[in-house]
Amino acid sequence: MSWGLLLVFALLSQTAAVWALFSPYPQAMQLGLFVVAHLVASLLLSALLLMVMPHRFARRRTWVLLLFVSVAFFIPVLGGLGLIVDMVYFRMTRKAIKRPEFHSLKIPPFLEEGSHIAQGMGEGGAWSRLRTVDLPRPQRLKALLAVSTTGGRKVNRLLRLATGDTDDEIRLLAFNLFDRQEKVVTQAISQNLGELKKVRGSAQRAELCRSLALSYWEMVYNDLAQAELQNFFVEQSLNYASQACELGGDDPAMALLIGRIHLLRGQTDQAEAMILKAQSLGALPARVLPYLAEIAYTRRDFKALTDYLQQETSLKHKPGIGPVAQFWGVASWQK
Amino acid sequence: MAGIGFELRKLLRRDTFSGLMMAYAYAGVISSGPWVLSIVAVLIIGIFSVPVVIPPDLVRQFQTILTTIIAASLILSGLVQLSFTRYCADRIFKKEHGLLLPNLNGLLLLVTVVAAALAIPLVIVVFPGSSLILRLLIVACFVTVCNVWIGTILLSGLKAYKAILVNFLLGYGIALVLAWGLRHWDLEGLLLAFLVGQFVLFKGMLYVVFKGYPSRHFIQFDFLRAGRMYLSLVFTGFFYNIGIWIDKIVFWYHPWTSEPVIGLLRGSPIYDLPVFIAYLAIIPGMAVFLMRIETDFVEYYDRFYDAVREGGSLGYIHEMKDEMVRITREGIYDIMKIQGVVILLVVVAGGTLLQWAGISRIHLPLLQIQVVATGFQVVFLGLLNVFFYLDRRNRVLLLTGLFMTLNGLLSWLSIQLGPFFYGYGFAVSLVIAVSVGMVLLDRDLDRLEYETFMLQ
Repeated sequence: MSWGLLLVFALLSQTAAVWALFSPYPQAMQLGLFVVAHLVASLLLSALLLMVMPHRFARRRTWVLLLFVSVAFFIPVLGGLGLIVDMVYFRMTRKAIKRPEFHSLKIPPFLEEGSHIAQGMGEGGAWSRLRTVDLPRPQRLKALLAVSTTGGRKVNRLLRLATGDTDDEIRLLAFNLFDRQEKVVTQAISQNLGELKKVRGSAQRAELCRSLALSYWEMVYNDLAQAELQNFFVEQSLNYASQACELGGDDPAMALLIGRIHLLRGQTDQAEAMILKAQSLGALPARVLPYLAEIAYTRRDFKALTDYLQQETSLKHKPGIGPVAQFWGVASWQK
Repeated sequence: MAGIGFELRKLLRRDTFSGLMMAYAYAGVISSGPWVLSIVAVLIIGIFSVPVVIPPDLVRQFQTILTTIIAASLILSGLVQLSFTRYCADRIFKKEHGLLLPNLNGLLLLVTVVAAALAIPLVIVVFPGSSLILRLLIVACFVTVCNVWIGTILLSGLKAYKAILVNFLLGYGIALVLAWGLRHWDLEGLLLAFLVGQFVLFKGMLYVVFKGYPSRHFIQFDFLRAGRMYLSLVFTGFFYNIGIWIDKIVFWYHPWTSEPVIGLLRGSPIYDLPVFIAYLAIIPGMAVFLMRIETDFVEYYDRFYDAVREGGSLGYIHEMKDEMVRITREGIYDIMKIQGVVILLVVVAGGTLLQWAGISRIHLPLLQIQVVATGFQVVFLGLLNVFFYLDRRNRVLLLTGLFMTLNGLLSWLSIQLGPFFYGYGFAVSLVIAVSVGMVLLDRDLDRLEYETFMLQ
């Protein structure tokens, strides 16, 4: 049966219901006729409105139908007229709102094979989600949780950003994640410090000092400490790295670490000496050259900078330093 | 949807006398517009129907039916008014705007079915011997008016006062025009005109929500989930609405002060008219109330809680709290001052006003005490609003419960004491409720920082 025909039936039923009210029959019969005809009209009009409604309202159709029927039935005639106005509204605006929702689109065939790959969330995505305060809380929480599993310097900066969030739940979660990371390193430090008190042999002491120097540095590098505490950790890292060098002989990793600490403090000459020492002790060129290039940059010695970055071609392909090496390494900028 | 505070501040920003006047006039129209329109429309329908509808008693029957429908619908919808407003406010705070439309529809289904289920047996009992059409119209009016209140509370929660006012203007305008045309069809004609107006008003408000807050779902019952609607607010809304109407109901159904009007419905010719007029006198107080709450109070309230949430310094938090307390006190004093002036005007010029309106001077003492009472009602509203902002739900429950009980008891007592005491029940109950509210507010504001930090 066509839509138009059903509408005609509905209107006829409604007219019959109104006619029943003005009919000369006894009141009980008037009421009976009215209820039957009006119920039919209400049901038909509600079903018709349901048909022309946008597809996005397809869920809970029974409840929607019940709403329409109750309004049309308990507000006689006007309720039905209201449904007809809604039908016209939906029919007129349906073209504009008939837009397939993303979730209703089928996956293209070539993507179906890879559909088992879990959707991840990179740092960039997490940053953008966390910084958008308008997003619903679940999405922002998900971003925070997704990124927290990776760890690292950038992630910790993100967690620090989240600790100042206006949303209590996000702030608390960020504090918790931050605290957890900090606890891992602090535990390692206190364990090593405890062992250091007991151990007598210089080789073992050197090994523990090395661990302590790296742990303290991790606190600084991963942005787990700030301000005064950061200075303290830097001091401790330098202290234990120096002790490790004295006790265990020359260690390229410790020399490099001391060089990096000097670089952090802006002591470029001492930093250069230590990093060159690390290089002479056998540190990989890819590990030391970026720092030497950085020292050259702070001295505005761009030629030396280019030379350093040209020495190791693999640098161009490393994440982070790659684009820097590509720009400065070609020396074309000098022309 | 822009908040009303934003528009008021825009007017105030001009920093001129005319800008200030405009802001107060706007606040007055916005805050009192819907119910002033309702009162004026009912009065006008009555005035132009009297010469045509014979006998004139029919107009009184129409007004009594309408008042009963409005009172009953407010009490019934009072169960969900505040709790659903809070539900919507929580959803807006959590940026879950997509839940507003489907849950409004869910609530409308619930209210429609419950209202009809209550109204159908009642019209059979209350209106014996009346025509089928009249009974059907009464049921339809009751269901529609209940739905109108639901639409109004959602739009009030969204601070879309302008949309409410425009829709009320349209709805009552249509009702007036139709009543003029249908007045020859007696009571049924007038009720049909009112019903059409209310239905247009209802659909208009739905359209505003539909356009402003689109959703993927059409109907949901998320508001019924555990913890979504506060039970204390359910009772508060119910108590408040019964509290507002209980003195009228006592006067309608006490044999000394009432007379039968239609079916089992009764009216109080002594009490109704002065109350009707007294409610018009609260427009200035409502304007001050809206201005103070939506501009100054909200500004410092936001700053205080933002400072608490974002870790502001203790000095700044103290400063903002002091400002908030100062604005609250000033706001309540301002309402009292302006209502004081209105009361003085009515005391001095009340007799002349009644003479102009063609009403007997016998109503003057009652009108004077009712104006005092309605003035206190604005202060009471202001207090409740501040408690709502501070989320002291138990306080509001206590105050509305106290007001409801006292208003019922004291109104009954005033009838026993004699005509000179009529109206004192309503006024004294409000004075007591306001005094208790003030003491509690004072205590709460003193302990605000402690409770904000320690009891969350």
